[in-house]
Amino acid sequence: MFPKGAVVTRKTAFLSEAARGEVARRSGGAPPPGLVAYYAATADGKDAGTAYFDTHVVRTLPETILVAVDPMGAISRIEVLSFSEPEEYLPRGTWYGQLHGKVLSDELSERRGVRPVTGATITVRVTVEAARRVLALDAFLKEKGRK
Amino acid sequence: MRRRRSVHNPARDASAAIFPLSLLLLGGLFVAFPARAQETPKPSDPATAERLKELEQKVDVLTKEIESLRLGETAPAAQAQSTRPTLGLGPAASKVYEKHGVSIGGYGEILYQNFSGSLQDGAPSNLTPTLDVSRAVLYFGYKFDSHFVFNSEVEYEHAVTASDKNGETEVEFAYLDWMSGTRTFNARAGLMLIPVGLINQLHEPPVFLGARRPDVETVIVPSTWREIGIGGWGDAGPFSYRLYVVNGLNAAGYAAGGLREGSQEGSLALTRSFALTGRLDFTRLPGVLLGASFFTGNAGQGQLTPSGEGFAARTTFLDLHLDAKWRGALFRALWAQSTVGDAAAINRTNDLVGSESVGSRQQGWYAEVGFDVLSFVPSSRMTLIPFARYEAWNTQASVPDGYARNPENDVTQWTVGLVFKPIPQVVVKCDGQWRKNAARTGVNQFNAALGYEF
Repeated sequence: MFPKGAVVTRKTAFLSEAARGEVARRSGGAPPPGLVAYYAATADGKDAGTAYFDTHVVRTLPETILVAVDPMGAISRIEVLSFSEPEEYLPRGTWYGQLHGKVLSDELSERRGVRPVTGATITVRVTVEAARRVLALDAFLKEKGRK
Repeated sequence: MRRRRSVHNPARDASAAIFPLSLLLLGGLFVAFPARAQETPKPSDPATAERLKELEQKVDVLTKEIESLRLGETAPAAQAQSTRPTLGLGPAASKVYEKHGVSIGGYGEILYQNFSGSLQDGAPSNLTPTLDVSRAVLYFGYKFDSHFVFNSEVEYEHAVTASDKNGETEVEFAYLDWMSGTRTFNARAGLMLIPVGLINQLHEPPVFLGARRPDVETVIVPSTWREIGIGGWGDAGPFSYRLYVVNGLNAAGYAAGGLREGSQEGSLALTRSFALTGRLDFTRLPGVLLGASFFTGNAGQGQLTPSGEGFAARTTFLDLHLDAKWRGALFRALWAQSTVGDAAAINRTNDLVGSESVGSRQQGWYAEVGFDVLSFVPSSRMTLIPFARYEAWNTQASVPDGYARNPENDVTQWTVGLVFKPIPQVVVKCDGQWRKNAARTGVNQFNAALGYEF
């Protein structure tokens, strides 16, 4: 996920209502929680990427995904850490692969640059929404100099 | 339209309780040491420094606890996806709890149908428009542990189940899954959806185009088709598969209009004959589902003809299907066929004569195309899909010697309509259907439907 030898530091961001609203506006979805823990990596003193966890409800039960964002603000890795709905609603790993390299843009949508999965449409939608939320949060924290 | 989710969440409640505490502590830092906190990050007064360090440690502990609660509320069902769940990110992030319990979902549709006043040949149709809660379905699942999961759907059709009404109450499926922990193989047993076709397994109203399900997938493939059995399912390389042994069909329900009533639906099913059913889908390419399925087994179930002869009534279904989505475009096509052995013996047993014969072969196909015009508006979560579908089916594609085909069962149909989803799980549909058959008794109709899933 991070370059070999990178130093990973756990950090915490406290987001005001305004900050949460700003992230929601940028992502086009639900706001992040007020308290966000993230893992910032540095290699040779430079930003080597950041990892976030996002927990969200799929249908009635939650899913937690890990989203790693590279220094350029693109998804470098995305993994499902837990999924409580029936396994049939979980897309295959190859589906998540198409999110790699995606940045926060109109293309990061299941109706545009992300192909959906027949039979797992709700999971796909909430996962894309979570990826957008993480990218918006990453950009926001970077702008505020909090990374 | 943006949607803000509001879901009761025990862990989030706990977080909500702890979060103000964290803020209080943080606030305490700045109230207690307003000037120093801003001007001198490291106070020279040892007592103050010690106090500050203690508060920082408390905040750190609380934030980790909140993170644990938030992440820990989810179950580790996706371990197959994550080969290294911790990823070296620290103890809070890697803490995985077991969370089990009930999952509830559902879907439903209300359908309006208005029929043409005349048949294809101009004769009066004498059909009355109808408005119907065609389905209201509740899904219940229960996760016993990381290996055993129960899934079920209870369906109400046509709103009222009573002697003077047409409604039905059905357990659409009720099965137990044993999850191996990998996606390669999982076991399933119980009342299961037969894995044939596209609609039979995925029939929530927002999933398919059209106010009514494609007729090929209700007439040729008798959706919603379910039987009791046991089998396995999972992924193998670029394929997803399902393979079940289930009770066979019952030929006593076969008719000229199709095999639909041959399904035993888990209700005191006769089990002299069993069947094998399976499916293989190529799923490597995101957005594309390409596959085939089958069902084969005897349907005689020990019945005898009037002259006392037994018969096997071997019944075999085959289907080829494709579902593809790319950006705003949707394409779906399906071909299905069923063959019935001993059709003449079934006719004699079911007292069917002439053109009432069970088809020894039923066949149908359809293709549909749609486009989400609101996909051009990235800020919108709404969907508006004009679509068109062409279907052709014949439940008597062939009949046994000595019997005739009824041209009414040789049907073609165009469906053209509009699908609107204000949010992804709510759908409003309307369409027109132009139906023709070889007997020239087809009836056109207008449909409107309201559907939902959650």
